[in-house]
Amino acid sequence: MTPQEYNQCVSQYADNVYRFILKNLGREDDARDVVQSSFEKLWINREQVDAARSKSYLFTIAYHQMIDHIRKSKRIQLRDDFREDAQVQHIPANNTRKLLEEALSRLGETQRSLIMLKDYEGYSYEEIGRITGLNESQVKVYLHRARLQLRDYIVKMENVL
Amino acid sequence: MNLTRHNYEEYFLLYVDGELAGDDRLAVEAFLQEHPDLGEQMDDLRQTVLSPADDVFTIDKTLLYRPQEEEAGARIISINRRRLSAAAAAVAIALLATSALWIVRRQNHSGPAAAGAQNATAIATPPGDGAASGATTHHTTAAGNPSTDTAQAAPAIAAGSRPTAPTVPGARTIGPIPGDRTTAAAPGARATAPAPSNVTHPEKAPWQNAPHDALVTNNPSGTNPVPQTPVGIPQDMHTDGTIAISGSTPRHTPLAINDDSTQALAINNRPTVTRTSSPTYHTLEDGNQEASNDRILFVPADQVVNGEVKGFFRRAGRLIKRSASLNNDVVRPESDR
Repeated sequence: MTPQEYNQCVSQYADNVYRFILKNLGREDDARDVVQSSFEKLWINREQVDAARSKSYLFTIAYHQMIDHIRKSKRIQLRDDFREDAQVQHIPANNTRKLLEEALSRLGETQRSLIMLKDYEGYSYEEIGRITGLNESQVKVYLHRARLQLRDYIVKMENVL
Repeated sequence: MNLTRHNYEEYFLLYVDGELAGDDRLAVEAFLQEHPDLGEQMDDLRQTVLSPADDVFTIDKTLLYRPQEEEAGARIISINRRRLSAAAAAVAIALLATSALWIVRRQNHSGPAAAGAQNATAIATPPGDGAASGATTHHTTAAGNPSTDTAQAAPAIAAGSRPTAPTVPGARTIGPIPGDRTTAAAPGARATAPAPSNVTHPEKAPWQNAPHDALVTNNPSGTNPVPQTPVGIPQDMHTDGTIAISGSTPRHTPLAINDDSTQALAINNRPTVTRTSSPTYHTLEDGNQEASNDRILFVPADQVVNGEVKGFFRRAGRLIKRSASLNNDVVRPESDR
């Protein structure tokens, strides 16, 4: 990867990585730090990175940087189940998007990451597995479980309202 | 693909995730048309899909861009092991080549230096070295009249001194002074008894006359045995009050002092007077100067090299002694105990 290709990578994927990290961590400064360190690693290793696979490489670095950051800040949630103890807020029924955001925030980091990598970036199970270090079956199982949890939350909230 | 009411959820999830190929996708859509009551299930799952267009975040990319000119510098930082080893090998080769060149050059220097030293002694020893002649010139300037020629100074000597007819034979004996500035002794004698033709004896080799040219033979007795023997200070003390300082070697006693009351002082060592002997004189003088230059050039160079080597070993010895003394200091308390 040449410096020009690196800068193209910044132009094309920096916002995507930032969104992926910010929606996981919820803090802008933390997300910015993780994104910066991810691009720093990409720059250092750019000679070993093919430009065509730079996006996957970047998301892989960013994901692991994010996990490290969460572990360091002792905010990691090892459970994959949906957080039922969270307080339910009254959200208008027509605002499904906000319901989804709320449901997404109740997911664990891994499931949330899988959902975002699938929906935002359009990665396949195989590619998500490569990024997160899971195998394809695990990705499929975790993702389906997360999707059903989101659905159940949204449906439940709609019924409550 | 076999879709039933028992396994449809998994296929609906795969459909929502976009993991189904064209035919499977069409199969799911056909199944939904066959079972419209399951359409709501599909819609609920579709609601869980995030829309990229709804969530747009931007980050300041100026922190992430890299200038193009950083390429060269960054390549240096990310040097890999192969390049590092290649660079180390290049440095080692350069060091070897430099040391080999140094050794060869040193050998080349030591050869000519020795030869030059030999030449210097061969040329300079017999007639008297150039340093002596230089000293003679200096004395001439200090004691005598620098602007006047020896021929002009000679009458003054003659006025204040005894008749110097006997000096002529002495001058003749001494005359062949070529090869040294001590020929200036001859002009002094020539002034008292002008016999310029006798100043030099071309038939004599310069180094044969060198011991004598340092002497002023203004002996009133008219004899000249003194010049024959180079060690003639006591005999020369009886000359006619002329001090002659010549540039010959010290063992030839270039100084002759006469105890005359006039105390006329003349240092006769100006080479320009004896123009008749100039060809031989200049040749030998040039040779002497070259010899002295050779010494100046080569001998100190060897001394410098030897001094550096000795200094290195001296420092190493000091360090070893110092470390040994430190070790002893460490050990001593234990032994004392």
